[in-house]
Amino acid sequence: MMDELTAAERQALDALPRESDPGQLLEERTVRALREQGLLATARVSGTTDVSAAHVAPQSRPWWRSAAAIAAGIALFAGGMSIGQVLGSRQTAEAFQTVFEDGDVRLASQVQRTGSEYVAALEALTAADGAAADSGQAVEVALTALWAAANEIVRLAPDDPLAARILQGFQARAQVMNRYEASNQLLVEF
Amino acid sequence: MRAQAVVPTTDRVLAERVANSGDETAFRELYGRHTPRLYQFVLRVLGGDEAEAEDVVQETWIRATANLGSFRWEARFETWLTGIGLNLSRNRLRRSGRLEALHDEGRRGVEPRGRDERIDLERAIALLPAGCRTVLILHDLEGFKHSKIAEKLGVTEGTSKSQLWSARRHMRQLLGPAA
Repeated sequence: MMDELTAAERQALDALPRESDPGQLLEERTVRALREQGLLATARVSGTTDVSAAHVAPQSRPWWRSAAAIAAGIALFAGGMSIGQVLGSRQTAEAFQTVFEDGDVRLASQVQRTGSEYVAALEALTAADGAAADSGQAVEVALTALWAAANEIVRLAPDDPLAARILQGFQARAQVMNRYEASNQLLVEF
Repeated sequence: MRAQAVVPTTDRVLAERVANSGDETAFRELYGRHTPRLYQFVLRVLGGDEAEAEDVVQETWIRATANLGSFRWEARFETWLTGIGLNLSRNRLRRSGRLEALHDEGRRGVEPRGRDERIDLERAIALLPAGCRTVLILHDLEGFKHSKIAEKLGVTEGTSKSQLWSARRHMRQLLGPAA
């Protein structure tokens, strides 16, 4: 009943690839699923898990960059106004559409692009002549994005020291601003 | 200055790091070593559906990681992983009605091709009925013996042999001169 393969058939079967790369996104998706199920520890900036030594292909995106990009995108969308005009609302809308319609990974990369353009737009605004009038607003939007990004990072990795410091910095800034505003109020009232 | 030889960490050491401390770096190393082969295998068993193959690969790693503590290292890690991937793939094929009982598959032919339709070997394998395709992949591509295939698929050796015969016959039909 068993008819053997001919030499040509054997050669053709041997020539078929035994390996194929499914792409970096699957690795990130798998790692995230394992973290969610508690099968992998959450990566830390310092500590027992050496993130820098991780086997990550060049095109991989660290999770914190995606989180920061998402937060930046949210801040941009909410803040809109002049910076939003610079960026163009179409890309932000696309990013948000992708967030809800497609997978998180595609979404993260889409919003990351928007986030990168957001940073580029701020740089352009800083470099442009006569932008002084917009710079105060740009700083506020940028800080809002940074605050949102730090909050997201803390939510994802509560032990992350850098994000915690950033939030502490915002807290200190808020206290200073409150005192400043209070003293101004006193001056006005008296 | 003396050159130092770099000794690759064994699968077992990496797996123990993952099992004991959830070491992500160790996991990524294991993943990088074994996923390309696992993915290609699962992709063939599933008939070339890339999205489905990705889902199965992810699920395979989750199952494997959850059960690392129970793996006794009597077989190669890669073989164990492939076994999990095979079972998950067959479950999917079964749930979607693509995996018929092996003895029924033998009677079913493959879709006839048009006169001008020429296909390559990879496509021909994908077009085989799922059950006999799996036997052909395990035997002719992965090099398993019929006794092992029978054990993996829960069938007799005779069934494995007859399915391989069917698979090769169908494949020759698909690759041969068009009607």
